[in-house]
Amino acid sequence: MSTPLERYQKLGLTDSLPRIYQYPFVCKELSFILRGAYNKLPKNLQSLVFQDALAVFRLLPQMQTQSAVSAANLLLQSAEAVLPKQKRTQAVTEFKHAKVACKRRSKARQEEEGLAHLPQDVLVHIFSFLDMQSLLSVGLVCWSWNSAASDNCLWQLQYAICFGNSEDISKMKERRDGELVEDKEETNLKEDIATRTSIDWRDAFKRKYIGKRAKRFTSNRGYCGVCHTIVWLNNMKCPKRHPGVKSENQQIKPVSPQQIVEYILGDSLSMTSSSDSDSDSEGGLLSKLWTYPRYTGID
Amino acid sequence: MAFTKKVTLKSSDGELFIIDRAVALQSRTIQYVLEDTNPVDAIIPVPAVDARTLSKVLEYCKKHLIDLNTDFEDYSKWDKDFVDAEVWMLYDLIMAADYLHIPPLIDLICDKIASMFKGQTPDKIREIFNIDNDFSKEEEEDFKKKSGWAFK
Repeated sequence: MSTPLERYQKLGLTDSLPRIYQYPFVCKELSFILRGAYNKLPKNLQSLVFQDALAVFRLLPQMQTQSAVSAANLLLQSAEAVLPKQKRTQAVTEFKHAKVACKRRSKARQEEEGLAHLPQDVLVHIFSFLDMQSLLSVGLVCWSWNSAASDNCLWQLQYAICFGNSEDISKMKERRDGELVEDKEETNLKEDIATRTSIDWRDAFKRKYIGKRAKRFTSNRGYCGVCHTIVWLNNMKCPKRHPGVKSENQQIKPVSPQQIVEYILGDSLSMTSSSDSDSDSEGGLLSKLWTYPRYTGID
Repeated sequence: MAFTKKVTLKSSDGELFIIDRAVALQSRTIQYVLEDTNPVDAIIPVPAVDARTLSKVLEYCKKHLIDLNTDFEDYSKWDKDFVDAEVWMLYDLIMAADYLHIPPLIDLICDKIASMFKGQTPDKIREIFNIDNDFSKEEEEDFKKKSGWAFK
């Protein structure tokens, strides 16, 4: 005839506890044992049952299911009803610690998950600060980011950063009337703009990017007309965020590496004049800015 | 006068913030509330933002109100320190700035978060921000193939 201790050990409760799917069952079993048998058990088994109950509470923070929490609650009620005062206090304290740890953990989880669940418009805004390669990378992170990173406005912005301001392409073309138009893509795009058909900017970017690989425009730098400095191209806004200047006047003009050299040499008086609101001089200068990469390419 | 100099904001967890009207006006959301209802000494609830985040947002608003004339360098250094926070704080801040509609603050935080993505592989970004990959193997391969042109 086996002793109650041996029979209890054969239940294997201690080993099953850490398994998430068995945890609630162990809780229930323990709470029944507490209520129905605890007072009739020998001292050594009483203390073993008590230790197991404490282990249940200690493991609670690792269990992320609602059933685990309610099962642990049930066990606590049994412990409060049956255990002598000292042990009862110990069990209650252990349970409270576990609850606090649970809350902390679930909050931490929520916070960690935060970025994945940002609203699409916020994601798109964040992505507008990325360079083209990073924009493609974030598109490969998960579905919701993929759809945000495919936003047409983002690719229009990328187009503007890499190849000059797309909205003005048609105007530029008119200015350079005499020049031979050798860029077919740009002509297509111009026609698209002219006929106001919707443009797939990602596709337009890709075609132009591949086409221009040899003479690509890679400085990733821009010129801010407000503070007269060369800045990194982020979102077409100056990182210094000039207060009191309307955002549309704050646009950054992409510059080529050659223009940066000119800027350092102080050779760029024409560039600084672009900050003047004089629209005539600005127009002339812009066409110079945008035609620059073309010239460097031909060299 | 119908205009009050002070405005009281109430965070989602019930804390009250009494601030200058001019500070509050940097939030377009609050600006609309003030213009529409013109509450005198009334409490404006900000149900989407908790006290911890709201106090940080207001810190930004105060700084940017006082220091309109500070030179750019000092300005950008303060901003840089301001967003030097943990990811979850940035998340709370961007949601608050979005709700309160404070465009320069939105730009500042978005720029910061974007800078954490720059030059990282998708795997690395998932690791940093603890995001589950919910693409199937085939979908992921397909997308990778489609964006291969940029990395050649």
